[in-house]
Amino acid sequence: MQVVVALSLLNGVTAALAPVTPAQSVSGQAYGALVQSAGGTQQSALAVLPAVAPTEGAMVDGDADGLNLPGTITTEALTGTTSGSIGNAAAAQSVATVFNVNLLNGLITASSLTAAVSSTSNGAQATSNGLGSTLADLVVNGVQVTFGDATVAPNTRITLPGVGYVVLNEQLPTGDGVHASGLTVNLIHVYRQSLTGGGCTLLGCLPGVVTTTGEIIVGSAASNAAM
Amino acid sequence: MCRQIRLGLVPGLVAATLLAWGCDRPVTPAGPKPSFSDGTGLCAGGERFTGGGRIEPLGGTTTFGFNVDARDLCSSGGPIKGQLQTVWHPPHLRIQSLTFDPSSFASFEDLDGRGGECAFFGGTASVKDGNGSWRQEQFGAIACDNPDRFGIELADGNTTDLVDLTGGNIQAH
Repeated sequence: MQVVVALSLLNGVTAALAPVTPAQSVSGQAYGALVQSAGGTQQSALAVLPAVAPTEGAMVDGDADGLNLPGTITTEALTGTTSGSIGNAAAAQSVATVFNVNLLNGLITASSLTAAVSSTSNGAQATSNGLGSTLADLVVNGVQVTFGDATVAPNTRITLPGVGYVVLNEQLPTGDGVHASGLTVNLIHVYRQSLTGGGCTLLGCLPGVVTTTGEIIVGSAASNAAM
Repeated sequence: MCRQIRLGLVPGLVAATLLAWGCDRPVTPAGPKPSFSDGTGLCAGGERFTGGGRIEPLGGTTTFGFNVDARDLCSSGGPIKGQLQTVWHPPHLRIQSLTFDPSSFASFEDLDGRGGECAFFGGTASVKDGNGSWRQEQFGAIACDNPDRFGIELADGNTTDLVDLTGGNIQAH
């Protein structure tokens, strides 16, 4: 019995020390706009890269003439493209474009948005970037943020009084930078918030709790590569 | 003597680049059913190309994504599998591939002295201007890996020229 236990332990140690070789994989997705609220979710055509086998490649696109939810969002021509392949390296790239964006009755407007991300891995180094991600003629709460087609610093946060806040060029990285790397870029991400609870009594005041009640994402592209 | 390669569309951009390439390099005679996978034929630069991103040609920002797999063509003269989508931003012009023409495919190493691998491919696409109606047109495209470049031309003369990517990636296999 002791021998069996010892062997089992040894097997466990051996397995723990064995080099982990992540499977070769690529993934990605892109879409023009998504609106999430208590009433449900509305999303323009979503392009999702299917599973790609080693030595293969794929591309998927989504396309819509526009998205119109009065008081929340109006846009024209939303497109998303995601592609990836595996060979001597794994590579994935995604692009989303949206034209003539108007959010929350003009609180945020832009003439066009382009989200572009790419990820590559060769097994020794894995990188991602959002180069080429731009917001054209962006105006937030009456303030001109970009003149013409220009980039905005990643994860720029601006308060929207009475609404919540917006994160511009939101970048969400993943991976270890050696075998795997991924990046999601959301060019405009509105977090709608409301204050619930709180108030004062004879015994004192209690703070309210700020909760996110909805989200609007416009221009989203994501890519991941592992080898 | 220049190599003659028949493209499905023979757009100006593609034809001009091909002609320059063919005239600058030794010609490898092509038989009726050449073996393309020996590195000297029409697949010398690779059999699979995948990419996506953006370019900034004179006509304005253009974004794209594509995947082209010519392994069947390169090994046995079979068909090409693939997809392509391109958006030309100023006129909100959208291009979505419908079919790929095997006779339009060719890939090369060091096409223009900048190194890397390039592929030409073309076929028929659905094209839409803004909120207009979809129509069918022939297209031709060039994609290069390292340095990454892309260009596309439609039969109606709209062209981006072959320009470097400002975002995204192109991968040749």
